[in-house]
Amino acid sequence: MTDDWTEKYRPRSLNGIVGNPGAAATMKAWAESWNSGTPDKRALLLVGSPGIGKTTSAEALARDMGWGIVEMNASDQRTGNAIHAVAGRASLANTFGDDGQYLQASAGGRKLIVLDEADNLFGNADRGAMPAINELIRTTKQPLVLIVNDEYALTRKSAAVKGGTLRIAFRRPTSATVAGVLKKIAAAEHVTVSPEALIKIAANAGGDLRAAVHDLESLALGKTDVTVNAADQLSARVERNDMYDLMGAVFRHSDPAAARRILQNSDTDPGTAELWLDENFPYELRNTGDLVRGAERLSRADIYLGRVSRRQYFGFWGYANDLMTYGMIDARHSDSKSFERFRFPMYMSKMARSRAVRGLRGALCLKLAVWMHTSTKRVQNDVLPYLRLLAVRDPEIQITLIREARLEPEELGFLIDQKMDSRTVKNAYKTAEAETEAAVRQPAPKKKRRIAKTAPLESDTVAAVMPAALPVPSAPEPLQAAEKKPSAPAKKVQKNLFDY
Amino acid sequence: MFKAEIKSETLKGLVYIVSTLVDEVKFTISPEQMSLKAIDPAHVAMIEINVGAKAFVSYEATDSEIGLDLDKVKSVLKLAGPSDNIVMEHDEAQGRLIFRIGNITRRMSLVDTSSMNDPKVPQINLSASVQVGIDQLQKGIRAAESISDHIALEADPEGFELSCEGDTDMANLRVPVAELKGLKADTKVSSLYPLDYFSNIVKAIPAGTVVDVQLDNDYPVKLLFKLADGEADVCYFLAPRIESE
Repeated sequence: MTDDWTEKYRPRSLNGIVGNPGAAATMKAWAESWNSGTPDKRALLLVGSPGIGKTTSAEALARDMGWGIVEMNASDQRTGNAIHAVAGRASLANTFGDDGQYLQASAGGRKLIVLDEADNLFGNADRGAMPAINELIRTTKQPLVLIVNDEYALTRKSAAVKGGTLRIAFRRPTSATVAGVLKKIAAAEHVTVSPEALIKIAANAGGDLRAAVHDLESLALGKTDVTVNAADQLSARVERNDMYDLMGAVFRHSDPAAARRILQNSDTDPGTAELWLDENFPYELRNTGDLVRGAERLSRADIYLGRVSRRQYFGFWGYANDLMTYGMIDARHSDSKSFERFRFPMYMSKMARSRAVRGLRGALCLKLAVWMHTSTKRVQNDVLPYLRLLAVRDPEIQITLIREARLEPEELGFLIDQKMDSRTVKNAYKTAEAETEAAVRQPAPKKKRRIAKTAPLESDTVAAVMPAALPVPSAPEPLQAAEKKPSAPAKKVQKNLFDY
Repeated sequence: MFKAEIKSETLKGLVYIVSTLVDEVKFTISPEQMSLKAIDPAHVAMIEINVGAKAFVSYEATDSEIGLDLDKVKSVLKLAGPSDNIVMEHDEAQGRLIFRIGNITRRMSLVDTSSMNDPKVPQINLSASVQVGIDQLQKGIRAAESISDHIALEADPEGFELSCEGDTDMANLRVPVAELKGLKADTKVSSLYPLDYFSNIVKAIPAGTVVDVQLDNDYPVKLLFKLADGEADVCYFLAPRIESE
């Protein structure tokens, strides 16, 4: 198999990296600092858009330094365990190079650990990867390189990445630089390419050198010359637009047409764009008048977005988009500009962080709702605050909740604001279990005492609904048997609550 | 062409040793022997195995390469009892390896070997050499586990020592020269190694094997031993931990 041109002409040394001389020099200096012991920043963070030479630079650096290289990219499994097993083990031990050399760290023989596409860590498939990476940054005794397209995807998850790494930004090479590279490759491949065609291909790639080389190869396939007409047929590469570009177009460049286009072409829905604008506009529009106008435009856009979801008429998106781009840019009358970096919407990160808690609250409310014959919304708004007070002060109620509503330790803990393995929760469960056992042994007197307060018919319905509606995985068998007997006092708690 | 019959115990021994380092492996086959070289993904340990034709019950081969997924091979090995023989045959037309164990036939698709390069085995001279029974090493590992994640190997003219020091506890095993099968150490040498690698390989070596442990100061360790009644040579390298600077 012959390599494609991107592989064949991939620079082997940092000197061959085009367009980013500063980045290459910084990398080199950092690598050399390892010769005098572990440096302060044990990891590099290479940031930049695709196809501009980040991975190539990392590999070239290892080659220049005579280091081995251990690479993990998105095609490897990257759970926390996998990272520990490969990168983690690699980071603490000396190494053997591919060419059969033993590389001793104290003698300058190291290995570069490269985590490519480190921003593409996905939920379950890459579980535990982030803590593993953080630990790696802190403890590694071998040089580490993290490579990302989207820096914020990583730094917002991890302070270690922000503080413990030396950040190097890779810029897109200019069209002229790209054209120069293409020209060399064409000459080496004995393909005649007209200068206009070179410029065309280079411009079309928008700084993505890898894409430009691919384009050149596809145009030259089976031919000896490439004309500008052939180059014209290249379809324009759709640039990946994201929210940072949108923020830049709205707040920094004040270019409404470009902003509108970015929003139109982006995969992100207007609702998300609205959150982004909402987060950033107070920092960008400093003048009070600007701020008021900006807020007005944004709230008007929000009204349209609300109508979209209520009426399911997506035509309103157009109005919202116009208000968020043209409207927001027009809101600025003063010429004060900010140079802060754009912020990720706090609402989104808070929602992500509170997901577990919200899930738990949802489960708790559902159990209580089924038990009390009411809606979860009602439980959340009307019952939960009072029930919390009751449960915190009265252990009896905790026990009733465990036995009647079948709360799990987690849920009870959440309700009374204690850890699920705290002593209060444990005691409540112990007592509840003991009472249940007692109830099984002598059911008659208990039943009489409690049922006296409520209508027997209702208690039966409650009992019938509960076991069906609630999956109770950890419930012991005797509890199931005792289900019907103690279910009556359900009403008692309910009455108490609504009496309040 | 490759067709061979081998005792299931022998194959099992080989496969379990290699699988401590890699999931997939390339066997290079010649008329005289079957060999493999593998380096673990973290580039910390390396193994070289040469299995001579005599290690097999019968062996017939021309030069070829076979790429195997070791997890699959392990599942085949589970089908074989300790006294069974396993017949392996390379079906070149279909790119498969056929295993026959008694009446069972298992056809296994092979792994593409074109992207698997043989690592070069380092040429390292080590000053000390200790011949020790694997049972001793296994005892030492058991004592060291759960104390720390690294282990020190030490040799001096009087004996061989395995020691492990954690934050609070420590354990060591000292084998005096009288209990060793051989010892060559002019001065005291010692190095620190990652325990998980060392323990994985030591546990995979069959009982009764004598291992030649070659050591030096802060340098890789080389374990040399033979399997299949002396017909298979195994050479295992492990790089030391980086000492704090």
